[in-house]
Amino acid sequence: MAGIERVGADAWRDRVARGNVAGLHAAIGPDGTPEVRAVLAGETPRLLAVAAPGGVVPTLVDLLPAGWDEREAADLYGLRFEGHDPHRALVHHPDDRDLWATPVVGSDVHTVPVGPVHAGVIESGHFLFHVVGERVLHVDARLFHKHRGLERHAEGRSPEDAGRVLSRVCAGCAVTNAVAYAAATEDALGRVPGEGTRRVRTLLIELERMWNHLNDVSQICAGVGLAPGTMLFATLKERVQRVCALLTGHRFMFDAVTLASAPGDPGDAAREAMRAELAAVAADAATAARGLLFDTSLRDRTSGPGRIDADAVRELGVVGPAARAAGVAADSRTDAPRLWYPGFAAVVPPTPAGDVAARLEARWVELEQAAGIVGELLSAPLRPDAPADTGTGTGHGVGIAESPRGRTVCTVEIRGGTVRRVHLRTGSYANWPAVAVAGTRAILPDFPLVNKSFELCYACVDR
Amino acid sequence: MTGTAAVLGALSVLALAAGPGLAGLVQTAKARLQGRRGADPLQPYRDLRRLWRRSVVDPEGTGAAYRTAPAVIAAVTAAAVLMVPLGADAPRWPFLGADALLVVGLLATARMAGAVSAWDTSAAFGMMGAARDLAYAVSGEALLLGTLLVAALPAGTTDLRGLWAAAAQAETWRTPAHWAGLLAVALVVLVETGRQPIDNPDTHLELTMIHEGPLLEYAGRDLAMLTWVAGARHWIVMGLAAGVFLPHPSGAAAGAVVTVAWLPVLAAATALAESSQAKMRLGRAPRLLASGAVLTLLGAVAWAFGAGL
Amino acid sequence: MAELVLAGVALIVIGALLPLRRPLLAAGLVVQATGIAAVGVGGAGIAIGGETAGAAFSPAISPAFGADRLTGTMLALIAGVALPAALACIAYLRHVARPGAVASLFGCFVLALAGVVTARDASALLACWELMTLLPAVASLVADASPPVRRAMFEYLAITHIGGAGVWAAILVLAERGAIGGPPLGPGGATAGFAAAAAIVGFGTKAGLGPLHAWLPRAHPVAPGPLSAVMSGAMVAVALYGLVRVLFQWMLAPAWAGPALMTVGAVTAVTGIVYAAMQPELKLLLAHSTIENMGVAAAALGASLWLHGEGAGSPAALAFGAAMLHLLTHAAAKGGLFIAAGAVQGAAGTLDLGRLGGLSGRMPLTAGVVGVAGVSLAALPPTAGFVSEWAVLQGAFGAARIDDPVAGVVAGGTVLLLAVAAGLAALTVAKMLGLVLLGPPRTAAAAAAVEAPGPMRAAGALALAALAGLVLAAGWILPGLASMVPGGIGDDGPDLLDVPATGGLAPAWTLAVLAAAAFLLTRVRGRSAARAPIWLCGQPELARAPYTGAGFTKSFRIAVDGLLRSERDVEVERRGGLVHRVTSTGRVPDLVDRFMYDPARRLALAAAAHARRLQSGSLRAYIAWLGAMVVVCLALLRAGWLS
Repeated sequence: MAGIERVGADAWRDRVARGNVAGLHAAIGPDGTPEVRAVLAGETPRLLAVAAPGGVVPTLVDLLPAGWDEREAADLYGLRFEGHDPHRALVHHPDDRDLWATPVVGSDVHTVPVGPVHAGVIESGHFLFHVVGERVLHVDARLFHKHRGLERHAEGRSPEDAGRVLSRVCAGCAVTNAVAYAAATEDALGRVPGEGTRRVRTLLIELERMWNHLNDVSQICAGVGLAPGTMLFATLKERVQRVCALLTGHRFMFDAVTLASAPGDPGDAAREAMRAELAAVAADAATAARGLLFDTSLRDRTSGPGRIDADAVRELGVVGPAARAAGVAADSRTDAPRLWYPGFAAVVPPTPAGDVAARLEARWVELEQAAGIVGELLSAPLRPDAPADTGTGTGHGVGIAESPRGRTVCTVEIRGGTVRRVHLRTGSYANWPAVAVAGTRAILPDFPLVNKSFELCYACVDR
Repeated sequence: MTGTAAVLGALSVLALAAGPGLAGLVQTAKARLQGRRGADPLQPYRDLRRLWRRSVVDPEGTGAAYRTAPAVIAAVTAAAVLMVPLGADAPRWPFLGADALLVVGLLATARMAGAVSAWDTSAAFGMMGAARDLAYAVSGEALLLGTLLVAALPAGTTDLRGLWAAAAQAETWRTPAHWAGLLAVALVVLVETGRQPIDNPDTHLELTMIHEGPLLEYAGRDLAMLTWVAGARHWIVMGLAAGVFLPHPSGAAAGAVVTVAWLPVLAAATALAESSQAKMRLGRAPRLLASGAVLTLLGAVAWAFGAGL
Repeated sequence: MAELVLAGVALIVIGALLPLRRPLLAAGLVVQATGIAAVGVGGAGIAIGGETAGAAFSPAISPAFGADRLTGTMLALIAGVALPAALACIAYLRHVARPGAVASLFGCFVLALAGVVTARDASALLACWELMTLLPAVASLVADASPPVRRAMFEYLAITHIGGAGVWAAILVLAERGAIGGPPLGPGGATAGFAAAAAIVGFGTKAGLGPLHAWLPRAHPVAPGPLSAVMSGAMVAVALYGLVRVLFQWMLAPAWAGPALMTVGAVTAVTGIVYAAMQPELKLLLAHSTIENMGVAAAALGASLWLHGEGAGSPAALAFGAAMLHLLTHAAAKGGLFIAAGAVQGAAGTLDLGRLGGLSGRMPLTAGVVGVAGVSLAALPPTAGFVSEWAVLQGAFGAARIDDPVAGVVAGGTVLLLAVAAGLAALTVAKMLGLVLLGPPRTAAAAAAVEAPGPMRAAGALALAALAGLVLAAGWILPGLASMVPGGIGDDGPDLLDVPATGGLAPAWTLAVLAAAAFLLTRVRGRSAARAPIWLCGQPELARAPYTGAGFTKSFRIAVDGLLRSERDVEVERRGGLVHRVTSTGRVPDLVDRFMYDPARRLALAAAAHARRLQSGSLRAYIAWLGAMVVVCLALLRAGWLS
């Protein structure tokens, strides 16, 4: 049980500053007053909460990268973070630019607004570039275009039903989100899944990583118009997704991970065929990656732009491959008792410069790592736990899983067998502010490439 | 007389109509090279028919510059199309002539009309595209004129018919200048047709657009005209490359047939070039074009050394 | 025709006197305009008719005036710029201090220009030359004596006088050798080399050729609008006219002169237009563009000189005609643009390119002038600027065919540099058209602008007519101009001079293309158009922030930033973990200023500090210096260095 600790406003900043905070969110406390909850990551993740009587709480934004969390809480719960001034709307979309964008002034400055409706099929996100021609001075990202109400939709339901909602937050990280939710719920209910379930969930999460990373490489190639790379890696991604479909019945593995069940063993022959196919994909990807490594036209585009170095990673709270591409060997899989990662160590690419090239290389080394894990897990029969009833428990839970984009944190509050509050902070959510910063470290036409090198999800952050 | 007029009319219709087909050919070849089936080479004509039936759109706040741009661009491009040489004595439209510098000028006029139309809306994507197009044209013009210079040195004229005739001569092929021009004209084809590594015609990423940026604003017949222009430019530059730099017999009929036969080859080569490399970073492409221009300068110097032989 | 010119001069004199009485300001300018028109018609008549009038060139130092075909052409050019400028003065001078004096000085300035081109001996030439230099400075200072104007005029006079020494040296040497009016000075020997170099430096400085061009963008913009038009359209052309007389007529230029002039011209063209593209103010932009165009004309003259020396008569004539035609088309375009700039300043109260916009709807005639003259400056068909650029390039192509490896480098390089200049001219003009005429008005004043008053509109219409006349008659003017080259058109001249597809005269293809465009516009596009907001990715209109000039040129600058060294400072204000505000400042420094003039100024100041030590105030020291100087002079005389 994660439990929740409530502290006073005077101790709040002090306690948070000492902990390893993995995100904030607002909720309504047991007595009906709004409160802000912080997830403290660690061996056993915990929640720390401070009440906001009158809707006012001290800000944390000067201590840790919690700008988006606070802006979201302010917009959705009407809170005011004392010291977070000016508050710029994040989830709300006021027409007045002064209410949400950063003032950029000076000679010759103009703006280039891009999105939410694009020339291509791209998710809805709006980027306001403050530029002088091709030079980017500042980027204001305005996401949250779709008011999906997913959290509200899940709240008030049984943990199983809520899980089905949460697993549809986004297709790219469907497994990770489901695993994080399942971990949070099981944490809240005081359960620990058996080894069989842990192995299956780990298998699926790594399969998801494989197709995502292959897709990301393909997208980076598309970003520079390198058609051979785009098509080759798209093909490899499709091959992995077909294995996913064989294994779980769905190319994006929707509903493969739930509280009650996990896909069973496909049989030795089929499992062996899958293992062989994935090994072949990994080998093909490695060969293709070597080809791309020596493609000077690609190298020239990827080296340099969008540099997020290790200092920036810490300052901005960057997670996942983007952090590891800067040499920060942080990976929530190193400490994942609810999954199956024996002897796991985070890998960083050979030249962790923090630029697009490094993020591309990070995908390759992680792809190899994921293929190894998948191969190992597929070489033994899959034996998930027998389905179990979730019962009518009460409690707070935190679940953490490493998505292809980084640490995903799910918090759940269950009271009497009903989900009261659920909050999902995905790797995409953590990294979006870094994309905006990386955008200022490249010329304007390189932004799509920089953006693709993070390949974050817009749907993940829609509330 | 009537016969010549009929031939002229037929050739002109062919030239004006063939451009989109060439562009379609590049697209089809590119799809095949990338392991896709792709549309057939006639797809651009279907696109034109579709656009033709739709109404145009006038964005609020725009004026004559926006409205006239497609027509002006189409008209000057059509004039340039009719100047592409298919032979030294091929029939010509009276008054139109076939001066190479005029073709360069007409292409530049089209570029200016596009830039002015972009300023008329002052919207970011059109402006980005226009600014990049004009920035690339700085070294692009040098490349183009340098290429024409090395062609004009042995020919002694800038008349495209004369240049066509010179390329049919064996002596021309013995000068290093012509070979330098041949290399440079390959770059010219990629630049002027807006292909990788200079520009990516298939991108949907607004921020990276060059030639597509200003098109985002147009619709209907305006867009049809501009789409036709994009195709017609293939005819112009590939026709120039084939007529001025690629080998062909000097006979009227055989020369014309060979010149035209080079066009699908050039389209396939363009597709290959486009499929094999990434688009260059903005700011590097002009340097590539400038190095192409310097190559032509070397050709000119080499010609001056050999001219006395 | 000569009588017409004389009558015109008399009218200009009267017109210059009248404005000294305030109520007669407009009347005086109208009289001036009439006189200028008479001078122009007379000059054109002389240029076409071919008869010479008045005195012939004479080596004697006694003031004499006359006209030949080249002079007639220059008179027409001067009048072509000064006539609309005089009309524009009527409206423009309401805004300046002491309008009467300025109007009077304007007339004197035009007379000085006419004097330079009609002078037939060294004394008249040099006297008019000095007046031509001084009068616009005086007029500018009378109109506005604020410190920036005073500083600009000081720099103008300082640089043009340092360079202008070359004019004196070249003219006096030639007069002394009897080359003015007599047999031309031979190409050999140090004297010819000295005279050619002095002429290129002297006249080149006044024409704005690099690296002594720095005065031009300082002086032209601060002068009153119509005066800027005459300075930028006519005065620089008159300077190149002087160079033509020296290098083509009064001497057989040394072999290096052609390639040197070509190189200087081509490099000047590129540096001029690079900085034109970066200027944030309309008149500054136009002034830098003048430098470019003088570079283009000088390159053509250099090609002509070179080809002439190589005995290639026809290409030499073509290049000569190209240079002259370029001067004419540039004068018409630039004159019109400076007058339009005056109109814009009157209407919007500023020439800052970031504070105009959207004037095409409110000032249609001025917009027409800016549009047509601008496209002509960008050397695009179907304008007159294209025809002259075409001819200049033909000249450079011709020079590249000279049987000499140097020709490959210099002429080939010139072709590439001219192409770069043309590409940048298009960028510059697109920026100018966009920021002045198109898009949303950037300020309330620009939004409230109204069309210029009557006389200024008339001036604009005249400039448009001149541009239209030049393009329609280009196929006929070019051979005429080419035939003015000493030595005449060679055998294949007529063929070479066939302006593409003119069929000898009217550019029918231009009309055909325009007709095709009109057909497409009216018949194909149709009249029914859907209205829609400008596409901003689905964002509301208020998210719109129009492109800036620096933004527009940035795509070019990032490719050459290593050369341009533009400066930008971005300051990010962070407080409490939040970005509060981002401030950006930027400029493109003029590298000629930084690397040539600034060190020169420092050197001069340092030298002055040293020189002050000589000023000991001691009589004996002065006598010692004088004695030493006499000894040095005697020694030089003995060695044969002074004669």
